[in-house]
Amino acid sequence: MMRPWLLAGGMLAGAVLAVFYMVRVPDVPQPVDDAVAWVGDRPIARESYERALEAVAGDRKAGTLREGDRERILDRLIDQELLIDRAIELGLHERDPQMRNQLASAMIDFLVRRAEDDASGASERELREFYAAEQFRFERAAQYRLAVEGAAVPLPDGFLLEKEIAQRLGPSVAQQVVGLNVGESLAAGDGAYTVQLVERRGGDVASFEEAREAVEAAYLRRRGELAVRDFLELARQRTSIVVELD
Amino acid sequence: MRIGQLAVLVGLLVPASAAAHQKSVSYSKWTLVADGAVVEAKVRWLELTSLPGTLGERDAPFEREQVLSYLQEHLYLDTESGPCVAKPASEVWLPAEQGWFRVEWRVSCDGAPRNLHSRLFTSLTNHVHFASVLGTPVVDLVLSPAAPVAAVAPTSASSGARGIGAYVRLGVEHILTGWDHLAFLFLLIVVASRARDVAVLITGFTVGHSVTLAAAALGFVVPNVRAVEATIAASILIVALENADMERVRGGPLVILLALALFGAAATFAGLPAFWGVMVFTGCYFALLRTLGGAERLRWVVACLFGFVHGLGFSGVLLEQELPRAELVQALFGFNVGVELGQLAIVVLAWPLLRWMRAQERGSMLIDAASFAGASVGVFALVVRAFG
Repeated sequence: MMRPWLLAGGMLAGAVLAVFYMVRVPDVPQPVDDAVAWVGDRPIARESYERALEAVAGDRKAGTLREGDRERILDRLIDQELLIDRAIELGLHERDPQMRNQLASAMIDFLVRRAEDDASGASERELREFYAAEQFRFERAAQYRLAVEGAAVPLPDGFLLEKEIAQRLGPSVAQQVVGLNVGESLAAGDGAYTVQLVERRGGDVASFEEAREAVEAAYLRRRGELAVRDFLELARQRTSIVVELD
Repeated sequence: MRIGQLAVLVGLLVPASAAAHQKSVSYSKWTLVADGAVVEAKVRWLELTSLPGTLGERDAPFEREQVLSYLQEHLYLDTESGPCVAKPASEVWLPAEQGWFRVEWRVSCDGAPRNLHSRLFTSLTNHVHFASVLGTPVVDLVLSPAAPVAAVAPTSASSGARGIGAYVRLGVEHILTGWDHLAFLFLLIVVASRARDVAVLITGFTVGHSVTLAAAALGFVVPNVRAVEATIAASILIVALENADMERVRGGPLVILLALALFGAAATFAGLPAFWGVMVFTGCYFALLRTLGGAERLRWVVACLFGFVHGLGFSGVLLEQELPRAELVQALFGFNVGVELGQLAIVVLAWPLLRWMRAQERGSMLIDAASFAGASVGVFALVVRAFG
């Protein structure tokens, strides 16, 4: 026979366990102590208001606010809250295609910005690893200096990219020029003139030091792309998606 | 055998659905503007199916125009010169939860609005319409088929009293139409032999449900409605088993084990982990009863503990009304008074009758029959609420 106090303890434990799963304490929203106005139960933060004031002042020639600007800006922010309230109430975010596109874009921007902020403190080692793995991103395009004999074809005196040669002499000539060695020539225009490759440069990968800025920018871009892809993969796992196309 | 048959019969006589006894409700908000008002109304599909002929079945799409014209015809303001008129093509359909319609339209009034009328769903005698008139001050109204008209601009002297009165009535209605609360109360008092015992039990139950009703209605805790409703069903089963002395009679422990298995199944398969706690509590409770040799000394504890759970159930009625904060204390007070009045009326009427029946030659059969009926109803309700 078990001791009564032990059983009473068991009852208490059971009751506590049941209560734990039966009720929860509601989330208390963070108190906002710097609101400049309240629209219903939503605050307009002083920071948003100050930002709006700065933006308007920046648009003025004198760079300062005019009389009545402060009231007008606060009114505009209140109007904006009321409009957003109503839009949500009407479910515009669910049925207006334009708003849905804007929401999707804003969400992508948010994910990218957050990922870029995280990645902005990337170490030298991370950048070098990224550069090593993605060297193709930092290849410099080849450029050619040509000499034309036998016809008055207008060519600039400097280096040309392959696509610039194609624009001036035609795609088939551009393709053949790419295969020439320096000093070699080819006949073009049904033999009417010849094109000689005088000099070639580029066509190689920029060194890490030369490409540092491009590497940093590409690294941030890549992290942003990955953040969006990761989010979507996770969201697809969490959400039941049923495709009913035939 | 006859008792068993009686238990089954009683089980069949309980309402067709053992789901939580939801009130039939609808809502409206009236924003008073210069030439009339903007109305936002919310009604449930389920109530619409009660209307004769014109509207579709539960799963069929309703014609919005029909719903709108029904609402505009049966929910309206009046002025001294007659009813306000709905402005044509002013409706905006708003998103709503599954199973609800929510629509907004404008009305124009020839003068200041005087009364609000709700003649919605008059065939549903327990239908309650909650209206908020957003003028100065905000006025909350509770309309029903029995009281379909209310003034939208009450005098300051009458508004408070009438507001409380409506919530007292709501509390009385809730306890009188809440078969699960009644069953629990009945099972608590059916074995009480003295008026003092009844007073102790009812006090325990009242203290319990008052505390949690207030805590939930004032937003200190958020109840998990499904777990609460299933535990209320379990409370009926537990008290019924206790009344039948299951911890002592031959074969009783097996019945208790089956009940524990049912609780375990609810925790495992119905996604109600609260039932792990209910299972531990019940097992220890019956073991303690066996150790102590009787339930008398513990009954008030059980009444109080399950009172906590029933209080969370009561709070659902207040919470679903989206009451403004200022109205909450008044509503809570009125509703609780209503529940107590209803409860007291039941005890005053039922207990002398039960006492008299128990004093008859075969009076002990009453407790057995009530216990078996309670157990069958409790199991039925628990299965429906947990697995249904």
